[in-house]
Amino acid sequence: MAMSQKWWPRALIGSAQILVLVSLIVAGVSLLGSSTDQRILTVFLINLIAAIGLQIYTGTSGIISFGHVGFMALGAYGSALFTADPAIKAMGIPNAPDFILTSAMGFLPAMLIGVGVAAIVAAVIGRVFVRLGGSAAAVATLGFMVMVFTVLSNAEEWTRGAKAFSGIPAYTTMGWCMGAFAVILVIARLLRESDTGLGLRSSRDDAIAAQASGVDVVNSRYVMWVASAACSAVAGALYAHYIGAILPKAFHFELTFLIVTMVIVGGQSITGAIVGTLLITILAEALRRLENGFSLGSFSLSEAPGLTTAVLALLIVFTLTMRPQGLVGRWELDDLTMRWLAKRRPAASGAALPFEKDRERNPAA
Amino acid sequence: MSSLGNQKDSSASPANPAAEVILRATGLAVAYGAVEAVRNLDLEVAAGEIVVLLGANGAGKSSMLNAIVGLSPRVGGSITFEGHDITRKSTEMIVRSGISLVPEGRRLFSNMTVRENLRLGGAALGLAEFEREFERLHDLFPILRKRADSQAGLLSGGEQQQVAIARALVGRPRLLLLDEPSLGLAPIIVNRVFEIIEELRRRKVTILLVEQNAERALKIADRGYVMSNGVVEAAGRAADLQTSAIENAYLGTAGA
Repeated sequence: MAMSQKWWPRALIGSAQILVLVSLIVAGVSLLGSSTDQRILTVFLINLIAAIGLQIYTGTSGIISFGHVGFMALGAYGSALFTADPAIKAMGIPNAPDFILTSAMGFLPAMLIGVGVAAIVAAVIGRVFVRLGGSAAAVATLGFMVMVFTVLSNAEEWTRGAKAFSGIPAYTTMGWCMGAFAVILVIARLLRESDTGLGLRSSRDDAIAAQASGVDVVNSRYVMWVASAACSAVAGALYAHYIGAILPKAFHFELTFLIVTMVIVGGQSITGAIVGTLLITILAEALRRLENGFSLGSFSLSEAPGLTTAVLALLIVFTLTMRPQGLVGRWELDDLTMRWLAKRRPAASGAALPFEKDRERNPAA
Repeated sequence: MSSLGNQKDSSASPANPAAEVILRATGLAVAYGAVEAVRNLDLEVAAGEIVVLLGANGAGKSSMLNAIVGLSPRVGGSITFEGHDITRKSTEMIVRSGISLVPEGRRLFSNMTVRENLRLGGAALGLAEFEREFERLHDLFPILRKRADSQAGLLSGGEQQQVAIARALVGRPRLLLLDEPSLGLAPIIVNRVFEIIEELRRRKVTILLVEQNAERALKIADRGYVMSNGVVEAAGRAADLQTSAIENAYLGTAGA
């Protein structure tokens, strides 16, 4: 299997397979779906980028972060402030510094500013954060998310505080979403398959053995943390320019738990983040319709607010108890297709199956 | 005990005085909180030697190996490797400077393939160089060719031990630390492990070995240290340590 010897072809082949599948979904919904379906599709792609962003860190380090929505908020506000019409900014945030008031940038440079801000913040706090694991990491990252929320809510001169910051140009198209998704997917897979990613994944298997093999766990986590924050910021920028108006409340607990649920339910791989996002999007959409009331035979329910949140919470509990590795575990789509091919043509491939389970072939046991 | 004292004085230094000492621990102390695992330990390993650390369970052998690579807390003394002080270095720095540890219980990355396990051991190498080293290990460990893409956790204990040793060798260490390589293996597999150690000796790999199987370990080692309760009770050439007096002392300590 010459293919498995180099790490980057695996990453590219895996990305291509996923890209084809997601493109099929996008093409199908674009051609056949209603305008509501297309709206759902756009939000799906934005959430997908956010979930992959989080998975870059969580999938390799094994540490869940509740703070990545904070990086999304930085990406959103960073991009929004530099693109909004100066006339609107003159009314909404007249006391903001001049370089913000006068700026009317294009989407890409403004998005890169948002991403840069998120990356710098991640680089600064990351020095401490990547040393934390378990509940300490959960509390610290959650605290970071709340801090970003509080700062944005109170920085009224820049953000209009808790009020909506509107007049953000609607730059986010399906093309931007797919382009950003493709780039971030490839980055995520390359990072995951790289030596840094492999070393970090080994440390979640056995931290002592990883250190004894010379893996620098702290620095590997740091690389993933900063990259992960930057990718989350892209999702935030896309969100801001899709909705057209943002407020700090949009980047709070609700979105945090949505993205975290996608990653936990999906599994530990990039493919897992995608499966989780797809599943949760469909489920949330179905539940949202039920929330407005439904009738089933003689049983009818007028309204059920909060149903989505309740079901998502149950889903996390169910996943963590019944299948803690998530739906697809640590496998990527290319692992699964290779396994399928090897099973179909065991004689032709000649090599051992990557997931071999039969101990009979192992007489030394 | 007087004979033991003489042993210690006469031959705590390398068997071959011409060989350069590459590892030197001086007055080393290891403690886990209030529990002292190793006290005031002096140890030397010269290039090309096989040195064995013997002793009962809890004598401090594994603590000593782990302390060398910075995995157990060193509270006193110093360790130098090839003349550089590594006492305060981080584990990954020590490993990258040329010392490899095969930990007790093998500790493979069970979810990863055999090749990925070895790649992690040789992470400091470029990819082409890694492939060369990987190929070179194939004649010593045929298992690597057969099972390169198998999940490491699905291998048998003996196969896993070979992969663990190969993982430590692939980065071309100048000192190999082997912690209980025969532990929990079937007798026929233990033979294979000792064959591998003998082959490594022919290839001039310097080895510091911790082993419960004192008789077999002394047969392949140049020198040995007998530890008890965290201190060296006896040290000397393997042939001298093999005398029944020493073995009795060692077993006596083990029973205490």
